[in-house]
Amino acid sequence: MPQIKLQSSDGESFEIDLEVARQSVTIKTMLEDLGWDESDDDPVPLPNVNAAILKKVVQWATFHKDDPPPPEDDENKEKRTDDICTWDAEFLKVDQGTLFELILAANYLDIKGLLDVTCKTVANMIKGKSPEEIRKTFNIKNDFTPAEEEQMMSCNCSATME
Amino acid sequence: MTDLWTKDWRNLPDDVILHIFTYLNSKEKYNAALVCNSWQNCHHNPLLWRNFVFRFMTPADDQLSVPWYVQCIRKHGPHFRTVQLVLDQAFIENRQKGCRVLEMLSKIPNRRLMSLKVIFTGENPLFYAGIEFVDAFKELFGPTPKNIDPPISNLLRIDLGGLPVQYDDSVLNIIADNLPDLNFLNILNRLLVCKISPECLLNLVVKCKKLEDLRALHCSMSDDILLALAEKDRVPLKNLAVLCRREEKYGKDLSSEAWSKLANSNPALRVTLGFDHTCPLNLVSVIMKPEIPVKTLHLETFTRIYDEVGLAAHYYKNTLEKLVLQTRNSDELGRALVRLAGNCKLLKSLFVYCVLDKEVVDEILHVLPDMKESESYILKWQSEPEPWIVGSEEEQVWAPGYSQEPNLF
Repeated sequence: MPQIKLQSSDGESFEIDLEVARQSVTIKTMLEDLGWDESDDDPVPLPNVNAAILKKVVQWATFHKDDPPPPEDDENKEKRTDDICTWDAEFLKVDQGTLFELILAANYLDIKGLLDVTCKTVANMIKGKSPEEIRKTFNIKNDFTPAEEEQMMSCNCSATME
Repeated sequence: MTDLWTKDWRNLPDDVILHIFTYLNSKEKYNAALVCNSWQNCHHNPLLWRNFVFRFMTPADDQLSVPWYVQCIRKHGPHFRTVQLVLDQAFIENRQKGCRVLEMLSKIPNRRLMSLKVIFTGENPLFYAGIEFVDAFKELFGPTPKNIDPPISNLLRIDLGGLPVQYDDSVLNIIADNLPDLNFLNILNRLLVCKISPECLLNLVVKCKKLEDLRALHCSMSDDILLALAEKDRVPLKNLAVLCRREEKYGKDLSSEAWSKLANSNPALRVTLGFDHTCPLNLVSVIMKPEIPVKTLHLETFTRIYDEVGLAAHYYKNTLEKLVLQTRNSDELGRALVRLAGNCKLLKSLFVYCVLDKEVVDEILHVLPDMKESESYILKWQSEPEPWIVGSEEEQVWAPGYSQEPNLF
């Protein structure tokens, strides 16, 4: 099995199976563009992912390397969030900072499966909560001006419709 | 400092926020949008508002002076393409909200709505005919009021099959006059009385020449409708679902000639034919005709019915893919089912709601290994606690039930 070296933003190198790495569309495209071959020993730099997160991503990708490709999104369907597999659920029992960074990494590396499952996890944290409860959960600052808030609640803005 | 900034959930890239939003239902999305500015901005992305499900299941839903669904329609109504309205009809509040939604939909300027599905769940209130819904439909399907910008595209799909409301000819006439591009129409509901006349349905079929999928009661159909559907100047019909009930006692049957003309001019047409327990038993074998390209057959008479299964095995051997049987067991039924399994080459699903002999079940599964593999059958040789579920029964053509995950047609 050919191996490839990935280098995190903080300079750590990870040697992993090529097949595992290719789940990332970003890495796959990068290798094709660079004309990478097995004899190459230079690490592929990933300036947007630190070692701690890259380690998690590699762990996820290794476990899921034999998964069938995720189905295309059907925009006509309401999507489920209760179908996260047990392994993923355990894997995502992390602090919010890590979850946040995992989402950014999945987005940057373009790993659809990982992005789906992390976004589902966030969606589950939003479900059933009021705006104020959501702010508390994610420690988000309410950045609406009182005037904006007033406008949203009364919705005078678009009363022209009725 | 930078760390604090990067881990602020407000600063997720827009496409990631949108991705998260796609996992939320309408109300959850609405709440999430009120969290902060960047989430709110994503919430305005038209992509999020193409498909909208209004769901009113509990009466006490809102504390806001202007309810969330009203705000959603005001803000995002022009982006709606597909709307599904699901409500528990037992509560008058839910019905009022549902009506309000329909009324508001009809007043959206530059409306892009293409597809509407309405499903009532729960107990039908006694003496409730849903007149206010009929009025709301007349307005929604009717011409655009003068003071409102006309729709950019018109309704193409109307699914009222899950709605036990007595819509009548007046609603259909309005559809016929105003929605010439209509592609899908389901008016097959389970209300006791059918008020849709064949004359009116004929008018609609003649005017809506792009209709590809029609679902109605058999008693609302006529030879003239079949012949109109067979005309060359229209988009070929792909699906036709007809259900036969007690009205057949008084109605006129559809002729073999008309069916045959329709089938010949629409070679791709497939028919779903159904009989419920109120249909006179002696008429079942009369209405079933070899000229009908039946793909799905429902024989839900609850009485002994086996000659008809034999007929299906003979008539529909090249087209039948699914059979649903509500009946009682007999030796004759077993033999007819085995013959059907052997004859119908395309048969994929067999749902038999009675206890059969073990030999019969074994024989059928032996003849149809693909069906066994896909588990799309109910074949029991021992009584089991109901409901009987093996594999999953796909979309119900009539009386579509409410599911947690509604398929938009």
